[in-house]
Amino acid sequence: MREKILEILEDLIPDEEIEGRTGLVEDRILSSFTILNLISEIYDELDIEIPVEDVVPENFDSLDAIVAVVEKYQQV
Amino acid sequence: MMTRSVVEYLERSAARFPDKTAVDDGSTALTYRQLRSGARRIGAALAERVQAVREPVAVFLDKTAESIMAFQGVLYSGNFYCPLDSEMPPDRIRAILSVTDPKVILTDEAHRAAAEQFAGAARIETMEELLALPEHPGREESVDRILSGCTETDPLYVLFTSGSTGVPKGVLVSHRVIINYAEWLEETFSMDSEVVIGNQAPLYFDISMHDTYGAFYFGGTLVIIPPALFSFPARLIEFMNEKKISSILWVPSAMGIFAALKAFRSGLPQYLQTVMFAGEVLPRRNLDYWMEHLPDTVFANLYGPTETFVCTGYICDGTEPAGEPMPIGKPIANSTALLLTEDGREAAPGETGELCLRGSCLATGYYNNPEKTGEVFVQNPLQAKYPDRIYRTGDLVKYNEQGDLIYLSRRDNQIKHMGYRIELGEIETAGYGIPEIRDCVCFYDYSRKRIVFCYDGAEIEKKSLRAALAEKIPSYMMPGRFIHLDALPHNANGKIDRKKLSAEYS
Repeated sequence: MREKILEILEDLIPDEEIEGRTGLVEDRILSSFTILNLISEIYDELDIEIPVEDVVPENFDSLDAIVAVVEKYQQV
Repeated sequence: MMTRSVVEYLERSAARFPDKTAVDDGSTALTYRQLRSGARRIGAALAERVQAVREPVAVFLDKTAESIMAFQGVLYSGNFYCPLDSEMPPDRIRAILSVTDPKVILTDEAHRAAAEQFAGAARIETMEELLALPEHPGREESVDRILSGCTETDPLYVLFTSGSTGVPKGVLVSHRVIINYAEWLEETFSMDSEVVIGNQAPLYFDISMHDTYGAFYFGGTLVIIPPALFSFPARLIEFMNEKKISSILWVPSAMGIFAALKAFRSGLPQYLQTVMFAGEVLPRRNLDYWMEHLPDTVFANLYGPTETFVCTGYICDGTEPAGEPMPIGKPIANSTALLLTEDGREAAPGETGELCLRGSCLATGYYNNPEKTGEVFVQNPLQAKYPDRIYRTGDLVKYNEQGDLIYLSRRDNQIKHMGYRIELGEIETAGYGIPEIRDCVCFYDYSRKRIVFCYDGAEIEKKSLRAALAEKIPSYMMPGRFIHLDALPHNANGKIDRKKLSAEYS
């Protein structure tokens, strides 16, 4: 899961080191369009839908946070 | 009495509603009294420094309530403003300043150091310094005297669009264009002093003129929505409800985010009465999503390049056939449309033609660029007997059976990306400035909504390529994908085959 999300992120923002860093939203590494693309890629590739209530800055500020919110909605 | 200057809107609203919020950026709110008094102080101080009227003053600030005060201050000084933004790349700011050559750059202490880098011969003034100047007798009178010398054809602002040769073009717009638009707005939509306009567009984008002068015309409130909220629709909806936002004019990509995330599940923007969109084509499924959830809200599609501001409008009534683009409607008041075919005739009903406009919506022309002005602001070819100026938009349109205009496509290589009008040629020009690149070409991948940059010559690490381009072009023009090829394909005419690349890599 983590690998897959990292891969999607690296495709969307190829020039940024993502692993281990925070402030993806605050430092505007993730633009509004990138967040939208990320959510739709997660839906296409992993079949996991993140509801809008959880599309909040805290859940996108680091790879760990993104993985946590995706796992929350993973079908068991 | 006829309106001569949009400053009268601020004067009028400050007299009617002195203690009402005029502008609120989420962290600072200014009442009409505060905004008027601050702007008049700025205006008087600027007038003493510029010592001229109808001259450009560049404003270099963040997107805040302070910027709005700065713009109004420039108008009180009898001059017009050129909005710059601290997020623009330095080379673009330099290019804009070299065209406008302002005597003064108005900024604040936080941006002074940055402004000094591009100031050249321009004098730097800060909001803090101008506001702190001691009162002196005669200052109020001097502002009133300046205002009494204004006419509606005086320039209001100069805004820069993408130019295909890489040199941005400054569109000079007069007070009349905005006065005419504000009066049309009142006739067309039921807005009054209760209106709270939620701004999305950058302040260097002309949609923000609707937000600002729409609010001041009615004596309503302008709310500058913090840009970061557009990534998080649930938070944005909360903000809209907290500020009681009742009217918006957004680019379709901002609206599309709501549809894509099914954002209205988290709540509805319950005060919204008017939703307008402009700047690019809004996919019907996105509009349908909004209309379904906000059945009592009025939806309107507005159209207009910077050179005509908003020049047509269409109120959606839900009867438009699905699968067809939403009409852009009819010309606004005191403006007419002329559809010209390639062979210079007026298009027959249903026939495609280039949309040309005439009347009060027309910009004055390109600042300090008579050549470009003469290319698109031209004599009406169907009128030989007297001067009749039209603007050729380069957009292909036709009339539908209801007599509304339908937008079809661009005539050239201009695209719309996230609401911004971009000449692909400008990115290519920036690419040609990179020594390793032999040839380059851009196309727009409509399915993934990104600009694709193809080049040959030596392969460059993506990071350095982006950095090199970022010196020349603003971030919204930055390609989303880079493709290095051994050799770019060419078509029969010897031109780089953009179509082939687009078919292969979209």
